Amino acid sequence: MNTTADLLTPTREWQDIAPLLSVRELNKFYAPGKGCGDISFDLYPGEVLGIVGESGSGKSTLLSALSARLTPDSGNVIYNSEQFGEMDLYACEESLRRVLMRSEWGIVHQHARDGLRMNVSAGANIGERLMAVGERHYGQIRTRAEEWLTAVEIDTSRIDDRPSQFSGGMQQRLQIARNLVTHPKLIFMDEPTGGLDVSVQAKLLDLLRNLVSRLGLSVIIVTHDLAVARLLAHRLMVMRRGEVVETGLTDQVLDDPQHPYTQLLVSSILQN
Amino acid sequence: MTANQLMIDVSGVEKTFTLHNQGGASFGVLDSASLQVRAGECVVLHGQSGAGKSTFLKALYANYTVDAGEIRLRDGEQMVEITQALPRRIIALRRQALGYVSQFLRVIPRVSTLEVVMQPLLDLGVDTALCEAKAKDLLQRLNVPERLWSLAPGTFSGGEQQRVNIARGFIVDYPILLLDEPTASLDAANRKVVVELICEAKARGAALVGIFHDEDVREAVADRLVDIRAI
Ligand SMILES: Nc1ncnc2c1ncn2[C@@H]1O[C@H](COP(=O)(O)OP(=O)(O)OP(=O)(O)O)[C@@H](O)[C@H]1O
Ligand SMILES: Nc1ncnc2c1ncn2[C@@H]1O[C@H](COP(=O)(O)OP(=O)(O)OP(=O)(O)O)[C@@H](O)[C@H]1O
Ligand SMILES: [Mg+2]
Ligand SMILES: [Mg+2]
Repeated sequence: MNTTADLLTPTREWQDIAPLLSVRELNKFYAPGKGCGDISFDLYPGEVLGIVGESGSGKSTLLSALSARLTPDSGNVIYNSEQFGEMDLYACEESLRRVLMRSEWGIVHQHARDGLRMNVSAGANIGERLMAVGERHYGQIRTRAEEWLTAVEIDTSRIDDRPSQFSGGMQQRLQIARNLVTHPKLIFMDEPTGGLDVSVQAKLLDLLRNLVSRLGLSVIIVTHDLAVARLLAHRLMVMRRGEVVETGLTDQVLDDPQHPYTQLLVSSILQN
Repeated sequence: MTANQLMIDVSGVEKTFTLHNQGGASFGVLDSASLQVRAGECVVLHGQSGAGKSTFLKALYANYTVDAGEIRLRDGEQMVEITQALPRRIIALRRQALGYVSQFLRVIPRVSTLEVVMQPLLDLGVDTALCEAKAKDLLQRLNVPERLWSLAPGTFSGGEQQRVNIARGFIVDYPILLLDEPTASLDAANRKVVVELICEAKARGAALVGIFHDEDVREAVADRLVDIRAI
C-alpha cells in the first residue's frame, strides 16, 4: 500500500518526480485588484497546498482558474494527466477537461448543493461518478457506494435517502464520497468546513486528514481558517488583493510570518 | 550512521525579527551562529531567557526561516541545506531523519493518545502492529496510565500531555533529534526515563541538540554544553 511517505518520497528518488500541476504567471482580473494575478507555483504528488487570505483576496477566483472552470486572462496551467500525459488546460479541448473533472479530479464545493444532485439518492450521487467513468454493473456500483458511505461515516441504511434529508455535515461528507469514489489524483476544495458547527467541522477535518494521507491525494484547499490550514496543508500561499504575498511550509508561515499582512493575519487569531 | 559522522552543520546563521505591526520594531537574535554536531553526540544549549535558544532550534527544524547562513542536515548519504530546500524536501526530511520535541503537545481533535504517538512511525509505512507495540512500550515507560491511551489528549494534564509528546518524538529512531525543554514539568522519576531515552538515542548514533533547565538532566546527557551567544 502506498503511504504518503512513499509519495513524498524518501531520499533518493524525490528529485526525479515531476509536478502534478505547474502554474505559470496566471492572471484573472474582473477589475483592478479584483481577481488574482501573477500566480506561479508547482504542486507535487501527495502535496496539500492551502490558500489563505482575507475575504475578496481572490482565493476562489484562483481555485476556479486552476481547476479549469474559469478561463484566465493570461498564463498557463499544465496538468500531468494519467490518461493524457502533460496537458495545457486552457489550450486543450473542452471535452478532455470534462473527462478530467469526473475522473482524475475532484471538486469539493463550499455549499454541498453546488456539488451534489439534491433530488436523487445518496447512492445515486456516488454511483453517477462511477457510471461516468464507465462502470455499468449495478451490484458493483451499489457495493462501492456503500463502501464509500461507510468511509465517510454515513450509515449505509441511508443509501436511498436524498441529500436534502441530510444534515449539513452529512451532505459535505457525501460530497467528499462522491468525489473520491473514482480515485482522483487531485482535489480542489473551497472552504469545505465553512458554515458547519465547530464539532461537525472537527469530525469532517479528521476525516479529510485521514483520507488525504491514506490515499496520498494532492489537494489545493482554500480556507480562511488558519487552524484548518495548519491541520491539513503542507504548504501555504497567502493572498491579499489578488496577489500572493507569502508562501512556504505551513508551520513556517504561521509561526514565523515575514510579510506585514501575514503577521497581521496570524496575530489576529487565537493561537492554540 | 557511521560513528563520528557529521550530522548537523550550521554556519553563519543570522536571524532578525521584524514586527511590522508594532511600528516595524526590529531586533537581532542570532548573529553568525555556527555549530557542528556528530553522530552519537548530545549538545546542550544554554543562555538566559530570551537569548535565542528556542529560535536556534526552530531554525534547525526549518520552523523559522533565517536571514543568512547555511544549515546542513544529514539525510542518509546527503547533507540537505534546509534554508534553500523546497517544502516537500523538508517534509520528507522531517518524516524520516529529523525529530523535534517541544514542551507542548499540539493536539488534534478526536485522535487518541495511542494514535498520536504511533502516527509518525505509521507514516513511514511501518506495520501497524509494530507501531502499536512500540507506542505502548513508550507510553508505559513514561508512566502514562493505560486507561488514557484510548482518549484524545486534549483534556490531559500538562505533564501527561508532555509525556505523550515525548513518546511521539521518540517513536521513530530519528538520526537527528531536537529537544526544547521536554522535561520542563516532569517529576524526577519521569525525568530519569527521558534521560534513558536520550542515552539510548545517543547509543544508536543519533545526534541531539537540546535545551534543559534541570541541572540533573543536563549533567546526565550533555557531551558539550554551549552558550547560545558564543556559537
Ligand atoms: N464573477 C465575478 N464578476 C465580477 N467580480 C467578481 C466575480 N467573482 C469575484 N469577483 C470579485 O473578485 C474579487 C475576488 O473574489 P473571490 O471570490 O476570488 O474572493 P475570495 O478570496 O474567495 O473571498 P471569500 O473569502 O470571501 O470567499 C472580489 O472583489 C469579488 O467581488
Ligand atoms: N516568532 C517570533 N516572532 C517574533 N519574535 C520572536 C519569535 N520567536 C522568538 N522571538 C523573540 O526572539 C527572542 C529569543 O526567543 P527564544 O524563544 O529563542 O528565547 P530562549 O532562549 O528560548 O528563551 P527561554 O529560555 O525563555 O525559552 C525573544 O526576544 C523572543 O521574543
Ligand atoms: Mg471564496
Ligand atoms: Mg526557549
